[in-house]
Amino acid sequence: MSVAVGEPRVSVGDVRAGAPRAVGLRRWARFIARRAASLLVIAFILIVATFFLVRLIPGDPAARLLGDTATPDAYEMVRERLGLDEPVLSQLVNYVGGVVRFDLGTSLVSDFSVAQLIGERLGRSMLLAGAGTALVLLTAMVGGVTVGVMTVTGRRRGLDNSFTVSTGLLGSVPEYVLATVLVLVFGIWLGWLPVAGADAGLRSLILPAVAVAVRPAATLARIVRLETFEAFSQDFVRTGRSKRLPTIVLVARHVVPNVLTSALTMGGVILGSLLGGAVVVETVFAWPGLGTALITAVRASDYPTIQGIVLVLGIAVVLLNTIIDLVLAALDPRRLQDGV
Amino acid sequence: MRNLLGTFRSVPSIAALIVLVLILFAAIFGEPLFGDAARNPDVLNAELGPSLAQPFGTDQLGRDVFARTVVSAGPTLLRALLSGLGAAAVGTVLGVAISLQRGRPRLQSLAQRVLETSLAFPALLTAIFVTAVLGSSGSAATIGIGLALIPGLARLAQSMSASIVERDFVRAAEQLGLRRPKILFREVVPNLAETMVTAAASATALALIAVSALSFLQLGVQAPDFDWGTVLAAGLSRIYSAPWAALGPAAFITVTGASIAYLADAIGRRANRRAVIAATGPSARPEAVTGDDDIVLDVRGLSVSFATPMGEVTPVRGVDLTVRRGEIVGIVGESGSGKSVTSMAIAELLPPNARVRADRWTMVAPAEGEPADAASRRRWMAQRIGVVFQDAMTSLNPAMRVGRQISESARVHRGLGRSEAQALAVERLGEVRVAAPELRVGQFPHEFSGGMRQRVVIATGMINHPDLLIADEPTTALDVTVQDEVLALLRHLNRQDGSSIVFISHDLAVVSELCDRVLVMYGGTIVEELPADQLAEPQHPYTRALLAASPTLDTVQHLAAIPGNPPDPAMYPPGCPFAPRCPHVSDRCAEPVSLVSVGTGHRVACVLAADDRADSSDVEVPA
Amino acid sequence: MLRLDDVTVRFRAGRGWFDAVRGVDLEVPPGGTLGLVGESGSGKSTVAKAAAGFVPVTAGRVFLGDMELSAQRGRALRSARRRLQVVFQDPYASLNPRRSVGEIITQAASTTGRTRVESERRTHELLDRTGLGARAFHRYPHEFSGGQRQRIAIARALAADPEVIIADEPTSALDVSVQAAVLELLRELQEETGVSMLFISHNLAVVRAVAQRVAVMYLGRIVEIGPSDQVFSSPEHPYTRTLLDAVPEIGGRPGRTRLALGDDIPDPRFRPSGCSFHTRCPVGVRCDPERTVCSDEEPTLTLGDHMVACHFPLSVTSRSAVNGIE
Repeated sequence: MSVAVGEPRVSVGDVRAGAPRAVGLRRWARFIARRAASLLVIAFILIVATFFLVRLIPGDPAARLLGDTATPDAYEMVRERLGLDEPVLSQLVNYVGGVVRFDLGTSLVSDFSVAQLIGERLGRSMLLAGAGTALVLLTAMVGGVTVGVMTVTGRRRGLDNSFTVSTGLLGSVPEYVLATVLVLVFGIWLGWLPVAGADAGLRSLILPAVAVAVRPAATLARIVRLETFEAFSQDFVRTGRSKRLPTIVLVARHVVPNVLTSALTMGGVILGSLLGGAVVVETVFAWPGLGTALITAVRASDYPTIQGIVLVLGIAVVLLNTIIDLVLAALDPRRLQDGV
Repeated sequence: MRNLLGTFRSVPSIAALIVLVLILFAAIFGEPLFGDAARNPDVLNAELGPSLAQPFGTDQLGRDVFARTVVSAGPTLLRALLSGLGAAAVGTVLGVAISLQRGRPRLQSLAQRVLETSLAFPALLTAIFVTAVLGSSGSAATIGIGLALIPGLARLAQSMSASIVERDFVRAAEQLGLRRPKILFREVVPNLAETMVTAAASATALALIAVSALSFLQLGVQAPDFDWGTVLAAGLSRIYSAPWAALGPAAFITVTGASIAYLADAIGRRANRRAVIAATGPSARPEAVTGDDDIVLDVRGLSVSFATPMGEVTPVRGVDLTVRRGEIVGIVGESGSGKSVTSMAIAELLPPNARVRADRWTMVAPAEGEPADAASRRRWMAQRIGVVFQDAMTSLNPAMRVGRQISESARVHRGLGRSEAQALAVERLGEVRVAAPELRVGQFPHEFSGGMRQRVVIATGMINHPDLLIADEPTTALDVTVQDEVLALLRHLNRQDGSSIVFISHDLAVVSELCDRVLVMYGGTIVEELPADQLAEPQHPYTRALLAASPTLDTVQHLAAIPGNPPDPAMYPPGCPFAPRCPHVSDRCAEPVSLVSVGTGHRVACVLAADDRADSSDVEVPA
Repeated sequence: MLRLDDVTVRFRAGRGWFDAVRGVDLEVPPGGTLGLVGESGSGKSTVAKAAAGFVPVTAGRVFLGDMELSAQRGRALRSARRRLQVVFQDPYASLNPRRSVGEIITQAASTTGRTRVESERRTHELLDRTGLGARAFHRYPHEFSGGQRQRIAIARALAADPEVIIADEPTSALDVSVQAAVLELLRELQEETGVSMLFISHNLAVVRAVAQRVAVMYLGRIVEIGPSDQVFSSPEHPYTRTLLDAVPEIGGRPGRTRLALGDDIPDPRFRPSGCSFHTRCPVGVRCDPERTVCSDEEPTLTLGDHMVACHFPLSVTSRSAVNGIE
């Protein structure tokens, strides 16, 4: 057995490309540049898509808007407002040009500037969505990980079943039903919280935020629990156990960061479903956000307003997804690598 | 089919199934039974409260709300199904089509990006957008929601089929020169079908809620038609005076949606169901003994059982293992021999459904005496035993810098501060001969090569300079040159610190180069124990056969294959586990056989070896 | 039978490119076995994939008999591919879990123009020949162990009556006791059918047991190729030598001296200059600073039956010099 032990030797190939920090910065720069580029492309696609909204309407939108009894003057006016009196290409150029200058046209119903309307309401919607997202992430992470850790051995069948059933039911309660029941219980019967509007500060935010959050939270909590199981079956968690870490340390250091990564990866989709729910919930609570404005506009066939709101919500979603990507890259450095 | 039925055995599954059957019943027979009550106004009986005849009361026009709910089950479910299934069909085709564009990576990645973006776009918003274009109607809502569901399903189909088309059996089919459509329908689609059916069911549950939401917003079905959404919306407008008119239909939507989603989930989970783990009895644990400081570990009669759905399985049956200070003990065996379970039992890293028993189990005691509480026991174990695993890549946390991972145990158990711990990590990384350790502690595992990563894992196991290092196939995943260096490193660490090593391997040659003493395991027992330098002349028929079956660099003659397969731990034969494959098998092999000494430090569990000894003692006695 | 002519395979790596295989010439003789060895990252599996057409050849040509396989398209390519079958490493991924063993093998047998009855008869023959037995016909892959699955894969490959089999690490997922039986089966079937074989493995002892010729790859290039007896007994390339020295053996090998490598195999994306091996080489510039040619100039393969690509092949470098370095 001639197992010769060589001298400690200098490794040539392994400390790659100098100081790690500089490499990290360069990778970050490239990563951010890539994400920014794709953000711009997608924003442009959205603009074009909303532009074609009005052009996709079967028949003549102006005629449909005004009904059969319209005067020719009114008809021409609506066509002009919608920009239908010009060739399609110049319409598109005008529209894109307008969007870039934050000019989203004028409402057909109220003569208000669409940009102004959105400006007034965007903040409220973001407040509701933000509060909802925070609630979703918090409850889903805490609930999912806790139940996951408690049921990972497969021993607590009761807890396992009741978690599955309750999240299944909560995940199937339509937002508007939940919103109405919340109003009934906490607004009318108990009288603790305001029934509608956004004038009572934080107090008026509670019920809408809960109504928005419950369904996505239930869905995400189930995913988080499964991801917790998944994380527990990972080899590096076994390594953690071989270090004799207390369970709480093991969960906090090795399980939660990985579960959080998966939860955030799902975050974009969850956020989408949350924004959809917010549109409905805003209507129930008469919350002065973009959702109520959108529903009103759709019922009135107010196309410039619909275009504007869909565009702004779409860009908000894409922006938030980009932010999620950045957070994920910070949590898991492998994502910074080229081609990922 | 029996598998499928097994899915529906839990209480929630049965409940969900019953709900769906009832709803289906309502959808079919609702119209003939309750059609009149649902449609004909009766203003004299408007806004009645709930009664036996009308459990949800009546609406503003005096129509029975329960009847309206039951009657609208059909159209509502139909729309949800059309959206869900339609989206699943389109999504599957789209997803598979994208994954087939392997030759055009740019097109493929563009399509993926578009899918991911539209996935993030709120589904309800897409649906509202479509109703704005097509006008508010039930069919516009159905189309809108279907469109909104497509990206998610397409994405699923794309990632699933992309992983299937990369599998070797698809390659094999391509190599047979089969046509593309044939490969698609014979090889890809059958493996995709189950997932997509499940996803279609989930999508239907989502569509049910979304269709109702659009009706609620008055963007869906228009009067005089009605579905669950409009019935519910009518009820909600007067929920404060007559809650049942709203809560009744709401319960229908919720319970139906939840039932569909639950069953879809249950079918989906069937494929990768976790084993139902029954509670097991108390496991044995090592006792700390002071005294013989030369013995690091001494276990007698170690058995490990697992509770599984098929009953109790005992992959380790009565193993004796003694490790002296500074000794390297090899445990060699094939898959299913119980070598890894033995090592993990010693490391106390078995899952909770394992039950460990031992006649005697002692480890060298710490200076401060026997640990009393759980925390000090953990500290004790952390300083007694270090572990090195096979797959260095997955054994390290991908999102944590290696320095922190190496020193984590020392920080937790020895209370080191951040900088002390870092310094210790640098020291250990230097000890396993990683160059520039002070730079490398700040890197992540993926920035290391395979061999360097395994050194990091060894450094992690060695952090507290444990009495015993358990190395479970630490070189199996490595190239032969790297393996050679890792073996040299382990030998070096053993000599330098006097740490004992239990080294698990399937490779006789590796074990013979590194170890002092070797245990050969087969079928959950030790069949032979011998000094490593005698491995060239083993006594047990299994060890001999294994040796003859192992190719070497001098192999030019035929390899002697061992007939049959290694035994399944779930059904070990009662006697010698090797008997079914053994060329020397006789009737006596059905009886349990124990290790008998055949030379210095050489013991064999075989009736033939026992004969030899008996013969020689027979000869000796008269002399 | 199978011939690779100056084959290069280029992959995308992030923003750049790298050559996983660079200018490889190989020839699998009719009825014989060529072994291909190397560490992970050496490009040996990429050679297999390029030969089988799973990855496109960037430059160079692949011949099967007289036909240029890499130039075929469409129908001609499909009918040509049948003549070259692959046995994969992972016996769990290489069989479709949804199809019975009989269906899997019969489908392969029917690609040669056999009728359904003939195909099924051939399937039964092969099931019998590979020791699986007639009862395997109606069973599914998950009912078999790894070794048995690999027999099924071999039966499928042979059912298509190929001229060449590419075996890509066919036994590295198997236990030693099972591996011997699979290797013996391959050897016997080769003798019976006369099929040629390209056998790829990281395990030199396994290659020694099956191959008459052996090629050693390092970072995308063949560094040594020759008859197995010569390459294993008197390697010319220091890399081959270190590979052989690193193979553990029971009781040790007489005359085994060890040349220490400097490091792990470099990342193939960052290939060293000159001779790719110079960063680890125990006889080149790393150990003798005057041998700058190693880092400056890439050596080419010598001519002959036993070829080596090294500036200082071991038969030229005297043994004492090697020992002195050690």
